[in-house]
Amino acid sequence: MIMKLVRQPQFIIGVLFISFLLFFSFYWPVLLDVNKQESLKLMDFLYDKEGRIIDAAPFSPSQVPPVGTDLFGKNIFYQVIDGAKYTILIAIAIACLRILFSVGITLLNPRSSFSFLNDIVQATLYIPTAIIAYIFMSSLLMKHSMEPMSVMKLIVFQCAILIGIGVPPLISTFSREIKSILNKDHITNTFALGAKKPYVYYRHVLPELSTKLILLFAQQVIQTLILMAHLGVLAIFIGGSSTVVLGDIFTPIPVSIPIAGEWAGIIGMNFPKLKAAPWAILTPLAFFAVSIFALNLIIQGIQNCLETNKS
Amino acid sequence: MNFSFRSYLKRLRSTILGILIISILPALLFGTNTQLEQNVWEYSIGEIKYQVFPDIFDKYQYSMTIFFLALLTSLFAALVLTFFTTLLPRFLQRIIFGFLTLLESLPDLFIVVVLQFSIIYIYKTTGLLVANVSNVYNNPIYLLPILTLSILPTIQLFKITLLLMKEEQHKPYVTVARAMGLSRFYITLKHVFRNILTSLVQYSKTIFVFMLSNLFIVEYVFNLNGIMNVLLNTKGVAFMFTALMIAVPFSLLFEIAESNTVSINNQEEEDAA
Amino acid sequence: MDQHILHVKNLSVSFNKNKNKMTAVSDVSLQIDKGQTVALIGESGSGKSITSLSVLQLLPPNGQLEKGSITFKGKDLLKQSEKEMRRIRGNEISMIFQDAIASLNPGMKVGVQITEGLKYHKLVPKSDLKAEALQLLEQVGFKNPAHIYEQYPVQLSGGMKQRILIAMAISCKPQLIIADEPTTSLDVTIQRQVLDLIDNYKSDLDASVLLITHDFGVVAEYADWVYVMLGGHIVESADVYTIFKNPVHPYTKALIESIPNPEKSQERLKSIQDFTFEKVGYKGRTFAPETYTLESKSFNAPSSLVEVEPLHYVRFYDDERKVVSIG
Repeated sequence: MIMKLVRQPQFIIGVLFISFLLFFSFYWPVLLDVNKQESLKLMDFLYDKEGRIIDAAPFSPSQVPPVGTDLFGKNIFYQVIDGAKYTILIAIAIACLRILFSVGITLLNPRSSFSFLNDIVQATLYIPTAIIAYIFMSSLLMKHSMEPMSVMKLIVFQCAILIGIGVPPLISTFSREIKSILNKDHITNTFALGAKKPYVYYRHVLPELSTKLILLFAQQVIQTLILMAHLGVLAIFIGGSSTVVLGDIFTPIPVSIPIAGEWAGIIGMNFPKLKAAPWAILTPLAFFAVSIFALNLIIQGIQNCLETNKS
Repeated sequence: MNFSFRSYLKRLRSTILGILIISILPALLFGTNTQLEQNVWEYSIGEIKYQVFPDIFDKYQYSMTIFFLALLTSLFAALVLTFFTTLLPRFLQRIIFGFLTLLESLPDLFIVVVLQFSIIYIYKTTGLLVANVSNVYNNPIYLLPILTLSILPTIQLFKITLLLMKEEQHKPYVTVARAMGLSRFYITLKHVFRNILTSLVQYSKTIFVFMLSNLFIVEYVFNLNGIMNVLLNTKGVAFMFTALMIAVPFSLLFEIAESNTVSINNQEEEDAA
Repeated sequence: MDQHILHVKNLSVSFNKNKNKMTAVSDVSLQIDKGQTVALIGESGSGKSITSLSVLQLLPPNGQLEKGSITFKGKDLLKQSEKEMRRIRGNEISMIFQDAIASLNPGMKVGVQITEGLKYHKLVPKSDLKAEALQLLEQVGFKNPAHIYEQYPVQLSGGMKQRILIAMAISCKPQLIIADEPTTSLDVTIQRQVLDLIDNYKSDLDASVLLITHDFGVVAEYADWVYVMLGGHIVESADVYTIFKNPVHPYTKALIESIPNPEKSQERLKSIQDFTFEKVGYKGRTFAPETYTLESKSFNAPSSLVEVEPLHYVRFYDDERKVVSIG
């Protein structure tokens, strides 16, 4: 399976792209030979050579290459590059934990139909995931505002929500999948020959499930990324936010500033000023799009592999 | 068609239970809200307070109009595009298919924002307002949200129909029809398309769920007064009521679609046996 | 040459798969006369169906007609335009496929499907289509055509579907019917019924039939002339009596031996492994026992059909032709 995957060009391109993005995100100050603090500093005004103010933030891509700055004059490109590692790693971790929890819960009682979870899954069809997440997140933030907790604790809670939202549908997928494997003839055969349950799960069910797991994992990463982007627009940031009031006295615009630098945060922070600085939102969105495309390539590669296995 | 009202009720009961769980779970986990003094049938966006009733029915109608018009648009567009693609040479078809995978990766948010900006950009440069980008007073906008909402489903449906088409074109009955001297064009139109439409029913659930989620983003970014905005901002009983307004008719649609696909599958199993 | 209604000459067809060229049919020649039933017999994968599909030029997209000619009533089919070919398909040559279950469009009433060809070729005015369909259904033995007309394929049994397919194939009154294993997917009890239908049509209209099968029992009953195919080659051809009386090629012998014979019920039924490949040591014949592996080089060694007695051809290796003698 692994050997076959390595021969799939789409899979390799996808994996290479994601790892390159991560690598670049960690070492960009060295690679681009810039000072991290310097390039991410706030810049309220732009000066010309003689030191006169020419413009106030946000600056357009032509003023600050390559893609302009946000409301505070922070360079968007560097922000996005720096945020890549948080975004991708958080998404991967959440997807991973979703899969782990759901497989674990399903294996606890593989024959059960989880009717309680099924109800939730039925309901989640009609309510967009972003709204469900928002309901939970806003309650959490409400609590946070009344009795503040440490940033670490908040992040843990938020991640727990993001994980928990993905688990019920996954459990119903897995229990269906495992049931269909258990109903196969060779499993009945193994039981008939006197195998113990744990042995059958370990030797037969999990290996058959493994390719499906990789596939679901990649899909879950994509879903998490999209969910994060949506939550960003709804001004819910991982790690919480601090609110800054911009604009003049007559038209105050409260803007939430995310504490962690991930892409969804950048989108959410710039969303209220969408029309003034579109580049500040389009750049991270484009990065979202490209990463999701890379993940789709990986999925395509896995699926190609599965098909050739079948035939 | 073997739709049973009983299984619909079962599905509905499960949905209602699920919605109930979702709406009380946050309060259970993170404590009750302090806004107890607030009226349940009232919600606020920013500083402005809104009443749920009776506006919700207008909003509901508005959202559903956008939803179903977008659905029809994308279905129509996908079928037309598929038809023309099948007339193209093989390597072009492959390029189109790859391109679709690329387009499919675009997040809905990206498409909404880009579309909004391109229209503003066109307006700024040429003075031509293709469509209103946000609600002007009480005149709700239709064109742009429908267009935006239909883009991603079009891509998905296009891809699905292309795949189905490929599968369908290699079925023996097509060879039989060709052996009777019918032309490719005629077979595609009269036989293949017909069968694709019936198999599309089994994808309807995925597409609907996907589109509901998109509808939310479209409403939020364009700042439309739709049902999804109500859903986002209400809590407790009002939230449940809104969610049910969406769930009841849609679950009926799903039930009908599923009862049909199940019967098709059964028939195939009977054939195999 | 023109007395043959169909004359296939030196036909070779190959497939491209993953840049490998695979020859499916090589150097096949066959003739069908008017009013004759010709059987093409051989195991699965021997190229029977490909031969028949190339007659109608309906090869799958990766299939390629390498060389040869196909003449139908004096016209070279390979030189006809696509439009002309469409007129010939269904109208003059029609085909009955082996997989009756999948060969009907599941989403269309069978009655409508039967007359598709008539409608397309505009042989019958639109208003008469239904009457024509009912008549065809009756012709293929349905007692209640009006009821069957309204059915969808899933509602019919395998044998009924195959009869529908036959009704469809004969709807335009073609002069040649290619029946590609018409009985494979059917119960033994219905096989006869289906074959009789084809045979009746043949004798009623003095048409010809190319019967593709792997069942020598069927051949004995219906065919006038037999071609035995193996691995893309024709290995033996003769009229049906000669083949049964005096089979020469080991593969033909094996096929005939494997027909159950009630008089020798004590003996084990011969299967191809048991029989030929251990005991008989023919030399000089392609696919003789010791060379019966598709991988071996000798399989592709030059060989040609030799007339061992009048109108009885058997394939031999070119360099060992002298060994030939008739026992």
